[in-house]
Amino acid sequence: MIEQLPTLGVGASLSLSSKPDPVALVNTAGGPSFIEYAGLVDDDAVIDEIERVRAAGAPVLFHPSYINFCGSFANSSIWLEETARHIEMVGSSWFAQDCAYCFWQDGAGYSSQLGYFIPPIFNQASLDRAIKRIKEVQAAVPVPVAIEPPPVTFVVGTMPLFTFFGELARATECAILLDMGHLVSYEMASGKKVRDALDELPCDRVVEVHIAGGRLEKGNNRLTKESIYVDAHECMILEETWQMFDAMLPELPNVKAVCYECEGVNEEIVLTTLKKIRQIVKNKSASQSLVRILEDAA
Amino acid sequence: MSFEEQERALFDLLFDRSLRENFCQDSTAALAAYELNESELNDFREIRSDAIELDASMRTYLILTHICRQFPITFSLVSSLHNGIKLLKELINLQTMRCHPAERATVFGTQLREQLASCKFDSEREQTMITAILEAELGMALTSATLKRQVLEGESPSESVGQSCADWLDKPVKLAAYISAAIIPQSYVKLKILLCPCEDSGLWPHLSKTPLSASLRRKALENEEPKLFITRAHVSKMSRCEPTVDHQTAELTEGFAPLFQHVDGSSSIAQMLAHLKQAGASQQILEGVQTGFRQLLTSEMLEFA
Repeated sequence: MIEQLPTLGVGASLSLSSKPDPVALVNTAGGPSFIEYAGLVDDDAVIDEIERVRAAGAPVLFHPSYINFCGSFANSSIWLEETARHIEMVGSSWFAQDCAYCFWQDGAGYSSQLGYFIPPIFNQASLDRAIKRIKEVQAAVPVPVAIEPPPVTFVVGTMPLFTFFGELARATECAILLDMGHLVSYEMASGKKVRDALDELPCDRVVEVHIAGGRLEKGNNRLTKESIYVDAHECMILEETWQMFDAMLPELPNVKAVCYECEGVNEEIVLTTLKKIRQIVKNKSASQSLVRILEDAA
Repeated sequence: MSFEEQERALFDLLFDRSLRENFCQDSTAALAAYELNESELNDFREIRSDAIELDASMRTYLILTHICRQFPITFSLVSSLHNGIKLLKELINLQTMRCHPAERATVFGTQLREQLASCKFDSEREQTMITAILEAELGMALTSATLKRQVLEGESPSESVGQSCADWLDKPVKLAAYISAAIIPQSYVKLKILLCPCEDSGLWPHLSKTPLSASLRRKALENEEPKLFITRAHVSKMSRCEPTVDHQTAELTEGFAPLFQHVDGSSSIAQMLAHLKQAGASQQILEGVQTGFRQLLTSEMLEFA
């Protein structure tokens, strides 16, 4: 299943209909080879923009924030039906989203209604619910599902991140998306190194990698003064995140897409950063298909 | 002892300020009211207290950014009151957050109305004016929530059709569905221009950094030119998941308000005008009232009974 997914190269996650314009970037030398977007559930809200991107020759990935991939609250069948339709309409090769609470109880909706994602509880009971949620989505959508560890400012539960997501992926046979900043956020929030549980992660299931800007807030805990990571796509990519990127790429043999999440970043910085990402991928990635596609394009 | 109880505790920690403060002091004691076993309690000991405080504060900011869009003038005015920003932040609480998302703005607005009763204002007049503006915006939030809920439950919203015919004066009229009406101290449009320097999702980020000054509030509310502010919620974009609801608005002179109460489906406009004439209304007033009714009919806020 994962082997058959197309290799998309190095792309960018952007807001449709706002700057920087996805089509302009795609048409620029050194621009993204695919576009990811965090769209609304209704495909008619985005389809015109998507058609423009696809006409420019770039495939798209739909990456929303309204699916509960964890917890006790089931996804609405209507939202899942519309999601399936959306995926089909835009031709997203897989369906990835953060594994977190986007809504509470029966209030289906976007994570913004809760401010942003509420992270899952990292324990066995939570893992059991998450398996149920992922299977619920897999049964509804026409493409492979990929789950993403969300950004966290705090952690509840003692199960290591990669143990939780490794178990989830094996139990549901789903794919994984790893966001480098989110991994850094977990390390800062938990005081644990994600790579300490690397053996627990089925690395061959990681199909997509995200890299994005963030900022550090000063912590004032009486025991630790360690910073708190805040996911902020409009900011520069932090050194800790680049280091995580360097360290993780050699471990992931099946990565099909590396996405720079850069909503709100100016075009010049996007292009410079994409260039840097491509170079690191060529030097470090264990994904032969990904490296090959970059070398062919060069 | 259950996972559901852990979920309840997690949600409460994010939206119950006093629970969170207690938790930061002593996590075990703070969670004593939840049926959690030792292992479940232990999961919460992983939380960094400074991080959950930061998380809750960022969450509140983002939620207020959304809610502010439904109460722009109220938010601006309240921001200028002593502790006004703090008051707005405190209303992102369990009462607001436990209800269905479609109802959150109305629950928030209802709580704000109660809190305004004990706020410190320059005068009773100022309090009345600000409360009236809140009532108008709360009315819109209510009709919006009602309509949205109906659509999500699969009910077709009652569709108003253009009300225009030769004998429009002689037919009994009633209010259309999803109408709210309130008397506000000045034109809503003018107040919005005066008090809201940013549109939509930009307003709360602006106000939270730069609250409206008390002097600008005083100046804005200095003169009264009361208006009957009437709104009708309608679906501007149908969706099985997220229908978009907008409001059509009309502003009439305050004198229209008593007449509006008689729009109950039993009287025609001609009958209401006749009563006014009997009561001694001038030709100019009668013409103004007739024009107002015509405006409400064409904008589908009134319909024939």
